[in-house]
Amino acid sequence: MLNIKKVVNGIITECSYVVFLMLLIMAMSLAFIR
Amino acid sequence: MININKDYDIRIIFYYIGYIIIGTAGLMIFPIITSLLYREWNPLTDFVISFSIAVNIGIMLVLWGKSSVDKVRIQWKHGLVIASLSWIILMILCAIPYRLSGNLQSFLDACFDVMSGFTTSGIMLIQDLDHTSMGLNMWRHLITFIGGQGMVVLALSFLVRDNVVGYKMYVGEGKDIELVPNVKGTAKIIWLISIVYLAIGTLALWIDGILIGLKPVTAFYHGLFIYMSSWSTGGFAPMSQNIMYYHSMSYEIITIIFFIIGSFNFGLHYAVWQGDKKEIFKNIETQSFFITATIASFLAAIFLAKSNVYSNGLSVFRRVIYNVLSAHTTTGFANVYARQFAYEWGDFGIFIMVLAMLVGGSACSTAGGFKGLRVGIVVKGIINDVRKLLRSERRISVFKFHHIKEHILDSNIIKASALIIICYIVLFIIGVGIGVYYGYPVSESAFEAASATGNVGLTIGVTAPNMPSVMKVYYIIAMYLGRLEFMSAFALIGFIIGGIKKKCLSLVR
Repeated sequence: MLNIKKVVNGIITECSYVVFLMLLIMAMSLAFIR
Repeated sequence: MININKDYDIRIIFYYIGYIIIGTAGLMIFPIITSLLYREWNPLTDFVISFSIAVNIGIMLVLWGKSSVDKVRIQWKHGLVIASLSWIILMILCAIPYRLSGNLQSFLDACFDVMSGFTTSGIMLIQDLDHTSMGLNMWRHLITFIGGQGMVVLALSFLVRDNVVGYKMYVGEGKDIELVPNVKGTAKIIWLISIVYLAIGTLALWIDGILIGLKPVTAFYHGLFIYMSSWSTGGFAPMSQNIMYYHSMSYEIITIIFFIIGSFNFGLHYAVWQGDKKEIFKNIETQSFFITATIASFLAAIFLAKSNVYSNGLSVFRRVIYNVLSAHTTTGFANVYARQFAYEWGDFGIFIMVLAMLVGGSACSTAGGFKGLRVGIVVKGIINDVRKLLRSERRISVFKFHHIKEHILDSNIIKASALIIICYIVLFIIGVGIGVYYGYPVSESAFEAASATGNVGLTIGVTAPNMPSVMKVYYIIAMYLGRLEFMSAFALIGFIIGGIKKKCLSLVR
């Protein structure tokens, strides 16, 4: 069914995606504010 | 007299509802244990009483309906009615410990808070939250966590054996994704995903809680509660100041990560966990969320920075982006006071928040709102229609969208998505109308109606124990319809009207 290594990679992928999204939004907003 | 088939219909419906009640009531064991550990004798008694009532009702319904199991073939109408009716009955049964606690001024308020929990909304009428017992706090957050996955999913995982029946109930609860060919397996995977993230999220918040100065035991409970609310996009917190209580940017970052991940489709989690990492970039829902979340956060940040409400990068991130993402994922965590939305955010800020709350998260997730999938489908449908007009008339084009696998974008899918969006908008407009009728400003009524309709939980100060009962009832209905995505609730209404009609006709004859 689910392989532990793939699950860990999956969790890291999901967390990385969210962090990337936050950084992008932050960078865009700050670029326009300054 | 009710005709014999209708009688069996009712019995089979209550037979399965009985199982769902037993499954959900069984969870009261957690607040009972918590009350025991904290030596909270009054809450312990409240939960023992509530547990006994719920389990007895569940067992009676199962015994009453058992005779019909072999006599009725379960149809779609049964599945939809079981799902929708079980949510109403559970709201009443699960409100008993709330009311007994004395923290709510009426049974209607208790039902409001329970429906808010089940639908992962987060608006609340509970009073003196800071001094609420640990047992009741455990129950509040537990029902949010269970509501995120769905009570039918819970019953399917452990109690209901029949897969065909299970699938019809599962769809009735507003979920349609099949992770594995049988619905019991799908329900178990949904729980597995939630429990794995529960362990990771609670651990992260526990450690962070200790680092910011909470006592280890308090840090654990707060971490568990906040995690359950984040993952379920619920918005409940153990303290009345919500996420502001912790005064911690690290705590806020951890919650952002988990509430965004919680707003993703369970199908997406499963695909990524099986090694298909590209799915997170290809999926129409994540693409839709990426675009709408970026635009909404960006516009709100620019507007509030230019208005000098929040002028530096840190406050823009913590006060604007946090709240916009909380609204967009339909979580409802807030790190500004409710009235600050009204006094500081201005009409444009409120407008962005209302749109974000209405759009919501992903389908088949813990989130509410129209859902990114439907927005993506409708937008893609419009773009494709324009493309068709611009292309040669002889050319036949087939348009597709990617959601776990490739789907053909036909007019039926677009129509179904647009219909649900229209239903949400109608529900929202009625909510705004009721708020305005009772004297609230349009912007505040819109904010609160969007919060209830989209199962968000942010408040601008309208939701309070002293608000009119009509508004409380309407918000309960809005949260319920928004969560179940209308169809199963409409099926329940149709079933009741059909039953009454048949009874009237039999009386006339």
